[in-house]
Amino acid sequence: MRNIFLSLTLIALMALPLTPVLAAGEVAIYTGITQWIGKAEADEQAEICVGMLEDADIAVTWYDSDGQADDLAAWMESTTGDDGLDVCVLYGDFPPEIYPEGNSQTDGSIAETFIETTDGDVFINHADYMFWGLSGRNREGGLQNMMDIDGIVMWDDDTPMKVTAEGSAISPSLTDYASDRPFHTDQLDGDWEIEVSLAQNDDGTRADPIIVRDGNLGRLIPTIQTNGGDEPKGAIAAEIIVWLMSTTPVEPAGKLSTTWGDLKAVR
Amino acid sequence: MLVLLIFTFLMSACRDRADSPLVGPLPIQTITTPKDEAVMVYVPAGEFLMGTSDADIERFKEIFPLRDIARFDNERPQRTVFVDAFYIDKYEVTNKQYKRFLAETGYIPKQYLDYPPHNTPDFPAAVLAWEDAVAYVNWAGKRLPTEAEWEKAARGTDGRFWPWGNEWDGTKLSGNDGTGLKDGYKETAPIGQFPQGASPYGAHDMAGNLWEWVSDWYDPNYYRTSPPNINPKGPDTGDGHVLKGGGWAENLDFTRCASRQGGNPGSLIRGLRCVIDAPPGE
Repeated sequence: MRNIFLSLTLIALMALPLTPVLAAGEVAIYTGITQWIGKAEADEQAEICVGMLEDADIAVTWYDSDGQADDLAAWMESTTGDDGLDVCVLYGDFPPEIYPEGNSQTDGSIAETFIETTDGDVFINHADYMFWGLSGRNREGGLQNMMDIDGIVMWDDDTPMKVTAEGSAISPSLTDYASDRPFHTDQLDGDWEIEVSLAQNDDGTRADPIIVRDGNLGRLIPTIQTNGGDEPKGAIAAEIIVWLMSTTPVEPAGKLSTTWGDLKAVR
Repeated sequence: MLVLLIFTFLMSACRDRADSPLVGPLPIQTITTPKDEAVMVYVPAGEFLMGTSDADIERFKEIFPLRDIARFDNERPQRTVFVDAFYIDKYEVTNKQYKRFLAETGYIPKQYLDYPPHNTPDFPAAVLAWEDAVAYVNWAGKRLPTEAEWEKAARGTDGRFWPWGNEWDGTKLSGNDGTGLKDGYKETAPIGQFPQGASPYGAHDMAGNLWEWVSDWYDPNYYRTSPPNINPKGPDTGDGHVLKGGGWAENLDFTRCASRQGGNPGSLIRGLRCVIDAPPGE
C-alpha cells in the first residue's frame, strides 16, 4: 500500500511543475557578496536560475552588486507579509542590511521578520554555512538566531548526500554528492519541522537540500552547501522554487495542502 | 646584497629531521631572519612534480567519490618544474609579526581581521587582501613565493597529495568542522601545532589553517598553456591571485598541495608566508 501511495505522490510531484503558478510570489537573488563561491561562479549559477524562473513565469529580481544590498532590504520589507510566497536566494553571504552584523539584532531584523509571517517566505542558501556572514561576521549565531534554536550548527564536511525519491521528483538536476554544510535535522526544535528532505545521509540526521518550516511561518532551504561552482546550484534552486510555488497556494495558517499531506505520508 | 648580509652575519642554522613517507627523511636546514624574527626552511634547487596527473585523477575518484572531477581541471596537466633554491617561512606569518609591521610602518591594511579569535598573537594573521600581504613581505625584505615555490615547499619532489604523503590524515593539519572536536581548535590554530603534518622540507601548516597568498596571478587554464618549466612566475595577468593550501574550514580535497583557488576568494580566510632567494651556490 505504501508503495502505491509513493508512486501516486511521485507522479503528482513530477506533474506539478507543469501546472500554473498558484502562489503570487516573487524571487530575489543576491550575488553582490558571495562566500565560499567566487562571484563569477555565483553569477553563472544565478543566471541559470533566473532563466529557469522566467521560463516558469515567476517574477525574479537579481541584485548582482554589493551596492544593491539596500535594494534587497527594501524588496524584503515590501514582500514581507504580502500574502505571496516570496523567496530570497543567497550565495553564502548574509548582508548586514538585512541582518545587522555580529548578531547585534538577535530578533526583529528585516531577515527574521521576512520568515516570521504566514505567507511562508523562504531563504535559500548556497555555498557557505547559512547566515555565517562574510569572514565569520555572525558565525553560528546567525543561523541560531534566525531559527531561535540554541546550538544548532551546520558542520560536517564531506557528508554523503543521497537523493531521496522526493528530491528526484522535485529537482531532476539533483544527484548524489557530498555536502560540506549539511542541515542537522536532529537539532530541529520548537515548531520547526521538515517539509521535504531532498537529499540526506543514511540515517537522515543530515540533509541538503532540505525544506524546513517554522510551523505555519517561513521556511529555510539550505541548497547545495559546498565550496565553488561545480554543482548545478542555480538549476536545483530554480527547480525547488518552481515546485514550491506550483504546489503551495497561500493558505490559512495551519492548513496543509494535499501535496504536503501526501509528502508526509511518504515519509 | 641584503640577502647576502643576512646570510653572512645574522643567520643561525640548525638541522633536524622530518619523516616523509615517500622520499624518506630529508635534512632540514633553517635560518632565522631578524627583522621579522621568522624561522625559514631551505628548499634546494631542482625539479619537482607540479599539478595533478591523470593517475592522480583516478585515485581522486576513489578518495573523493562524490566530488565532480571537473573540480581538479585547473590543476592539470601535471608537469616537471625546476625552481632555484630558496628559503621559505617555516610557519605562516603570525599576528605578532603582522602587528609589528603595522606599528613600525603605520600601514593601514585594507582587509586584516584584527578581532578575536583571528588576532591572537600566535595565530596566523588573516590578511584577506593580496596587497596587504605584499606590503608585509616588502617590509620584511622578502617576497611572496611563486606558486611553483609554494607547491614544491609543500609537497617535495615526488608529487604527493598532502605535505605528509598520499593518505588523508585529519590529525596532521588544522582542518576541522568548526566543532573543535577534530583538532582541538574551533577555527584556525596557533602556528606549528601539527608537526606531524610538516612538509618534506620542514614547513608547517601548509595544509589547512589559512589559505596562503602567492605572487602568481590566477588563470584556471594556465597549466594547459604550456607555461615555462623553469622558475615559472604565472601568467601576466589574471582573475585575482592564486591561493594555496586550503583553510581550517575546507574539506580534505582543498588542502591538497596541488589545489589552487583564484578569482574572488569570498570568505576564504587567507594569510601568507614569505620566501627569500638562497645565496648562489647553495
